[in-house]
Amino acid sequence: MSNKVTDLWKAVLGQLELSMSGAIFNTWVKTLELESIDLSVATISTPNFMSKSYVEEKLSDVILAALSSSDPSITSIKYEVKKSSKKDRALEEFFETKAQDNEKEKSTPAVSQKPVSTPDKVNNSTVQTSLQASYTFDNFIAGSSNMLALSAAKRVAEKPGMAYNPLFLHGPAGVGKTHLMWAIRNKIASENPESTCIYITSEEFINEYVNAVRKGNSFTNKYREADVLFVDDTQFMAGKERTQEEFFHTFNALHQNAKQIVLCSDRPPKEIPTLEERLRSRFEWGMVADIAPPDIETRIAILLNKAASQDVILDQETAEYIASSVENNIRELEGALTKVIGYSLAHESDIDINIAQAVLGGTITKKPTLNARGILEKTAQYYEISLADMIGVKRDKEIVLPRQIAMYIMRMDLSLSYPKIASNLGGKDHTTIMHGVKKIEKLYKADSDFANEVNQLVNFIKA
Amino acid sequence: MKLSVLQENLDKALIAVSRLVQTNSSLPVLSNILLQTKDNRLELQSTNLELAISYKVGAKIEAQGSLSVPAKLMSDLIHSLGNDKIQLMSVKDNLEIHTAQLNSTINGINANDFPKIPEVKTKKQFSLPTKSLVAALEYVLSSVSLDESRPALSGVYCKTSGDKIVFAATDSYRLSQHTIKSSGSEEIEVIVPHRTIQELIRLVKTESIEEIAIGITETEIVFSTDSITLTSQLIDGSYPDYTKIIPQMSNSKIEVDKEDLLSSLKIASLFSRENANTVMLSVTKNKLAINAEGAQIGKNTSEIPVKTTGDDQEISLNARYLIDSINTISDKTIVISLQDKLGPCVVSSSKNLKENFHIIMPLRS
Repeated sequence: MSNKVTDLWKAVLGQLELSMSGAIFNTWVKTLELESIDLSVATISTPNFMSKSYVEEKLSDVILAALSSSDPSITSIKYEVKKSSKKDRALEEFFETKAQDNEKEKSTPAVSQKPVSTPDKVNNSTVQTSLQASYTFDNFIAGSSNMLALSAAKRVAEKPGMAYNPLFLHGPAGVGKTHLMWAIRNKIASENPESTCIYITSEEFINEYVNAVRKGNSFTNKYREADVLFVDDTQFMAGKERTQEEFFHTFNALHQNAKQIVLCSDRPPKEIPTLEERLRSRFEWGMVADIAPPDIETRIAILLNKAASQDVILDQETAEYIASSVENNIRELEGALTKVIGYSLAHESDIDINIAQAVLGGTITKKPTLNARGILEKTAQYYEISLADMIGVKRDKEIVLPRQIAMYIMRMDLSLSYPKIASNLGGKDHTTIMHGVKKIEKLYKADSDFANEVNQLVNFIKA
Repeated sequence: MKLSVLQENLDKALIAVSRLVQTNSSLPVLSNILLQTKDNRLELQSTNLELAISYKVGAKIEAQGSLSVPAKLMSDLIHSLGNDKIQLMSVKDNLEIHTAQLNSTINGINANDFPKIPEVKTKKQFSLPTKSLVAALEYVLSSVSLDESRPALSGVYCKTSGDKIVFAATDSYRLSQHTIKSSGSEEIEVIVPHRTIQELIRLVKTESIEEIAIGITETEIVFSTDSITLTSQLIDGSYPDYTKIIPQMSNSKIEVDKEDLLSSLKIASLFSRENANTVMLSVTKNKLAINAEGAQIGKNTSEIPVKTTGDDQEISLNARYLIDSINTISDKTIVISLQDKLGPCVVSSSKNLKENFHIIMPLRS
């Protein structure tokens, strides 16, 4: 696929995402790929025959409209089921070695330089993608929100096992935890290529353990041979008791030998539910550093940096606009930038604030993930009453209940204060809100159907 | 839509189709099944997008129509009814269900939103006797790789060779091959996903169906009988040339009673659990000893009288693989052919051993 086609498709997807429900987009459209444009015919590949038939029948008009708005020369679409071009490794590769070696079944040492017997999963994940290789300290944008984490990570990279062990990084999605982990890894690997760095997500650890148990194999723990062990998304270990126990032993073995352990999670150890006490205390043993969502200056710096790395000119005003449109997540922030760049390429115009507004305009109004206004609107929509009634003073039963549910959701999901909720609801008294929230809370606990309804509504609001 | 149908028939169809449905889909309609009247019968459709099942049951149709309803609720409800006549009626997007004792209404979703199974225009068509097809598929199924990083191995390989069809599966530690006669003249070479084979076996095994019609396009395969149609994606990719690793000759051959071997292996695997299921087979004249040892558990040796030809041998194998392969053989006598300590071990029955066999790679110990 040429670059132009890729960028055009990105712009089209951006447009389509706004024109249909999230579930429909994610199920049917996101998995499509624009393969080629041949004069007026665009060829789109679908992941399977079911989606081909559905998309062809139900969504073709919208997709064609979006495509031709980006490239007016396109007048028809051809759909085909995607053929993967992946070829399997030769089977002989394995069978020629004649016998299988229990320990290193499918191993080809990847990042680890020592010919240690690493299991396939480790290899899969430690085969560095170019993206991961590009994570360094140099391209990590420092800001007040991540100062502590960054300096701790730097110290760990300089003196693995000595400075802070373990290093526990936590923060919400897309603030750069994984970036820091890979930066440490890349630094250590470049200075000391002999050392064995193993990067896994806790999910992989769990799967491997479960697989070993399921197959009745003993879980021979190769992670104990690591010089530096990185475990991403530690929170997924919550509730997996046996895995935690296995990990506990691995942790101890490494820690005793002064091997560095770096963990990250979306919340601090204290807040990971059902994490065993002994693991929790060990996680808190070294350094626990949090990374908060970046402030606006950091976000602008990230955007400018990113744009520069792609040789794209981004002026201050536009950068500010994009930075203000995405607040919490750097991944989304970069996504927004990519969207803008894709759109400008497709339209062969320079990036300016107008383009950014055109592309992200929808995103901003639609993307307040959850805010008070959105909750009120969606709840009203859900119960088919008007927003005015919702905020108003009418006390019909059909209106009061949705109103109270909205209060409850604002309280629970946005943690707004009672007076704040009251002002959102047209300046009611805050005790009214307290009563409403309490009432729904009670109902929610007592009546599972009602609870379902509320959950459904919340999903609807978030969709 | 208005029709009546027997609980027994509807229940069976619902159980067959609802297995595919994902209950946690983000798109509600994907947790549904489609009900529609077709050719004077009631057709049920379900899909997980990669695989789709259509199941037709006899019904008395009073009004045509179609509707989609949540799979789980519908099948749980019908399953708990006694064998009785059930009346189904669509009222807008809801389904009303009436029996002598019961009146229910299930909230459905308009059939237009349901991804209907497309008519696949198959290029190659042939049919196979159900019994031998199922036997062949069950023979090779346990060797299919469940490792998704190797897509081509995650299905059953089917290839015509003269008037025969060869079915093969391997996860690169073991390999199974089974051959059946085919009357068709079409040349085929496809890889059918593991799940599809599983569903196919489940669907047709208990039915008294003589033959299954098979149609193939570049990317899909369709299995159909009078009442059931299973449409599936094919796995794209080239299957490795596994024939190279089939040993042409052996140094030792053991003939052993199936039940004796199975029970000894099951006992041995109690001890081999912590040791990756490793059991050691030592073959001396007319004797097979199976040893298993677990450092934390203890050790075990069982001896079975066997008929041997050729050299004495010692080989370490995964007991699980051995048990899987023996279970697929219906013969009373199992033939095990060995080359040396590290060469492939061939497990088969005493008949057709060139065509139907399992190969297990030994473990280095």
